[in-house]
This record gives sequence, C-alpha cells and structure tokens, in this order.
Amino acid sequence: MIRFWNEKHGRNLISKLVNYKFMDYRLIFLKAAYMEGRVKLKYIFEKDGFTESFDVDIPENGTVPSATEIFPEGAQMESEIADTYPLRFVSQKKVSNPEEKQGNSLVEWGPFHPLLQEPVLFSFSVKDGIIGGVNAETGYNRRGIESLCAGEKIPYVLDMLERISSINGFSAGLAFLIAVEEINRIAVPAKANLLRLILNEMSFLRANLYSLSHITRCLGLLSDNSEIFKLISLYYEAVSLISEDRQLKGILVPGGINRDIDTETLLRLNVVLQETANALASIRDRWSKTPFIAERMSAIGKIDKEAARAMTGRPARSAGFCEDTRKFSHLPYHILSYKLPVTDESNCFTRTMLMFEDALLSLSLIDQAVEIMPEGEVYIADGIKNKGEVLVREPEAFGELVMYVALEDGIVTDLKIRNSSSLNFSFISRVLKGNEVNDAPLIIATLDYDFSGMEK
Amino acid sequence: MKWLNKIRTRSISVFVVQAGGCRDCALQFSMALSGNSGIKGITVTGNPKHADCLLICGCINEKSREKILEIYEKIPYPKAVIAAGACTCSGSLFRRADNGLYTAEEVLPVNSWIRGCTPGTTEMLEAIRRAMENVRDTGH
Repeated sequence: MIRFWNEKHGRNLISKLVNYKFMDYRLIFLKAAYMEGRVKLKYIFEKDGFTESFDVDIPENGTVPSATEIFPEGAQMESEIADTYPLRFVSQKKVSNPEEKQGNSLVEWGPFHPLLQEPVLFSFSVKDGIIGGVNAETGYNRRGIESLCAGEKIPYVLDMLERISSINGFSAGLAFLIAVEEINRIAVPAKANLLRLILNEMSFLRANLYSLSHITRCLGLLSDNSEIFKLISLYYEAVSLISEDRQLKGILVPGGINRDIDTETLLRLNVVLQETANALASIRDRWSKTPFIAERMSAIGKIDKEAARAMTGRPARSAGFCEDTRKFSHLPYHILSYKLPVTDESNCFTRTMLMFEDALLSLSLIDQAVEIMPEGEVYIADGIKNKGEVLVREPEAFGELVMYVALEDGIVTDLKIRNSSSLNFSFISRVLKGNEVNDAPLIIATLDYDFSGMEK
Repeated sequence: MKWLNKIRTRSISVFVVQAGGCRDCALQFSMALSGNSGIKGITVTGNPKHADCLLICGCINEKSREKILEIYEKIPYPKAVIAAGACTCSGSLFRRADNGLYTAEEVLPVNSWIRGCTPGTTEMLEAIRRAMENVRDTGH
C-alpha cells in the first residue's frame, strides 16, 4: 500500500498507461472506491475481447495525473470520480475556455430546448457561424443512483436501474441481473435466456425508433416524423401483447423472467413487429436517394478514425471498426446468425443509415429467436446468498454497457455503471469543432447520447 | 373569467421541461401529441414567451431547479404548471432527505399533477386542459 503519493508514483502511473496505449488497448472502465482515508482507482483496459486491469491507491484529497491525454475516452469517467470522491485529476495540457479566443462570440444552447432530448448546457465559441470550441455542462440528470443502490436489496436496485433511462433501462436491469446470477452461479433456463434476448432487442428497436424520430425533427421532416411515430405505435401494440408497461419494466427477475410467454403470443408479437421492417427500409432508401438529406448529412459531424477507435456503438462502427457488443454478452447471441452493419467513414449520414440497419438487425434477431424458441421453464428459484463481485459487459442500444456489482447476502454493497455515452461524450468537442452552429442539433442527435444513463 | 379560459383551452402552447431522469414522460407526451386522441389543439413551443403552460417531467435537482425558475419567470400570465410523472410529483424511488432532489411543488406553484410511472397519454392531455381551464389571469 502506498502511504504517500508523490511525483514518482505519478510518473509510474503515466508510464503504465502509455504502455497499454502502445499495445493498442482501449480504456473501457475507470472505477473508484473509498476506504479508510484512501481512494482506490481501478483502470480496466480491453483489446480483442481480453481485459486487463491495474489498481492505484491514492491518499484522500490527493492529485492524480489525468489519463485523458493518453486515453481521451476517460474524460467523463474522471470527471464523475472527481465529483464524487475526494480526489483531483491533473492534466498537463491547458484547457482553453471557449470564450477566450479572440474574435469569437459565445453562443449558449440549452439546457432545455425542443431539439435537445435531455438537459445539457452547451457553450459554443463561434466565428462566422463555425464552431471553434465547445464546453458542455452536464449534471442536470444526476440523481445519485449508484449511491442510492448501495446497501439495498436486489429487487429494489432492479426497480431503480430499470428507471435509470427510458432508452437503456431494460438493458441496465438485465446487466445487473446477469451480474447477480453470475455471482450466485444461477443457471438461467434456456427459454428464459432467449426471451430475455427478444425483450432486449425490442428495447433496442424502441431506442432506435425514438432516435430516428428525433433526427426527423432536427431535419424538419414532419411527415417522416409522423410516419416513425406510427411505427412506434405499432411497436407499443406488440408490447401490449406481453406487458402492461411500455418500457418492459417489471418482467425481469433473478433467475429468469416472471411470466411465461406462449408460442402463439410470441408469433403474434413477431408478426406485428415485422410490419415495421418494410416501412423502415422504405424510409431508409428514400433518404439515401434524397440529395438534400444525403449530401447535407454526409458533410457534417465527421469523426476521425483515431477518435472512433476509442468510442463504442455506431460512432465506432460507422468509421469501419467492427465492434460487436453482442459478442461478450451472456445472452445466447452465438446461436443466432447476423452480420454487423459497418460503414467506412463516420459522418451524420452513415450513422443515421446504421440506425436503420440496427433496427432491421434487431427485427431479424427477434424473428430468429422466435423461430427457435424451446419449451421449458422461464424461471429458476435459487438462493441468492453468495458474496462476490463481478464486472459484466452487455450490449445496450447505443453501444456497450459495463457494470460492476458487488453483492453480499442479497444486498448490493457496491454498484458502478458506465454506459456508452460515458466514453463517447468525451469526444463531443472534437466532433462539433469545424461544423456550423446550425448543424449542432443534428450532429448531437446522431451521436446517440443517453445522458440520463451517463449521469445516473 | 371562466369563459375566456374555456376559449384558451382550444389552443394550448406547452413548453416541455425534461428536468432530468429517464425521459419516458417526455417521450410519452410526444406520443400523446402524435396519437389520435380526442383532445386537440395542444402544441409544443420552444420559446417560453409563447407558452401558455409549463410541463415538467423528470427529477429536479439543484442545477435544473435554477433553470426551471428562470423559464417560469419568462412565461407570460395567465400560465399553468403541470407536474408529469412520479419523479416530478414525489421524487419516486430517487428522492431521499439528503440527495438534493426536489418535487415540482417545492419549486413552483403547480396547477395539475399527473401521477404514474409512466402516466398515460390521455391523462397527460386531459391534465393540461384542466390546468388551463382553472388558471387565473394573474398569480397562478
């Protein structure tokens, strides 16, 4: 245990981080815990599906070199830790305030605006209508969910996590239960796993439909907006066959799901959902043939390969990185066949086209899962008594969700959540710079931010 | 003047504040406006100075509380405040004595509450219309 943190320890930390960067690792999780006057930081890296980590012990109120110059994706995670724990991250690079640049005017946007899905306050430094610098102030969505969950029982934490975000609440609840089942070595029945997969893909479909409706609002395409809302109504018609709750809350339980869905209901659900496929494909084809949509969107919101590599979800896949978040899932995606949609260059248009492809992919996976649904139990009653901790990586609608859960005797002792936006938000300034300020709402809409899941 | 309020309910401009939280109530409200409800005449505006009422969704923390008060001051009279969803009405699962979350009542004078997680679309539109029917010309 290091009693005194000094410059030498800081240099050792930096050299470790540089080594991981040199070996092409990505920083996927930065976790902190406070005990006995010290803050323990855990850095978790990933490369080709393998994870490595190391711990650092810092005395209370200490300063630590920031990892963001080496791993820019860690900026949001460091900011959250600095807000919660008695610790300060120090960067060597001077961060310039957007308004300091000469000749630039400062434009504030937010936090409440019809084209902003969630409250965030943006300050743009603008010259001749072009964004020179961006400062984004978050914190409006903060509810303190991680600290509220500590010391609570599993059903309560599940209820809380299902409400963490409308878009990814189901995935967060599912990831939590997977962690609980892994710690307690509960083998979920095959039928329950496949039903969970169907419900997970349904929540992804819903998320993508809402994202598309927001993009139509940003583009001013009111008739397409109305068409997509009809598809969302169709989706809700399908959901009403299996659940009273539109967000699919209250279905998941440790050990499976709390209701058996018979084959006939599943087939009816599938038929209703598949009706959205043709409409989505037709809107996608129309947009790709409409010059004012395709050309305008292709020219804005570009992400360079270096930044895209560190991101997750569509921003990474649109730049050519085949990041398959379903590969590491505990759900049985390996028994289904699918091809992950990827494009070569990341811009607003390619990310939007991927949104359509992802929605169609979800429909295809649901179709396959319904076809091969086995008979059997949907729930296994098993004791939850083990003590342990686990890190799970599960897919969510907009990328990868990483969750750390520590349990003791059915009580959650520690919970840390990092969603896709925690990584991707660190690059917002880099993506917006050089674009027109009028295009900012559209660019942000295509970056798939889930601020409620990020700020918790 | 009840007859004037009755006329106002035929065309209601709503400023939606998604204060923070899961966002499902705001999404539900968008569905309500796009659906085939019997209640017509409700639109969303992006300018508080053009709004008749303020619809608040989600958990209100200290940061969003200040901004909500600024927006409320900009809305001209007569105006109404509607609190939508369990988080805004009571804090839902998230509220504790010390975690800095407020209910809508603690921030602004509320005319109508829509309870539920998530409330129904028809209930939301009815609550907005009821709030405007009972609004006064000055005060709330």
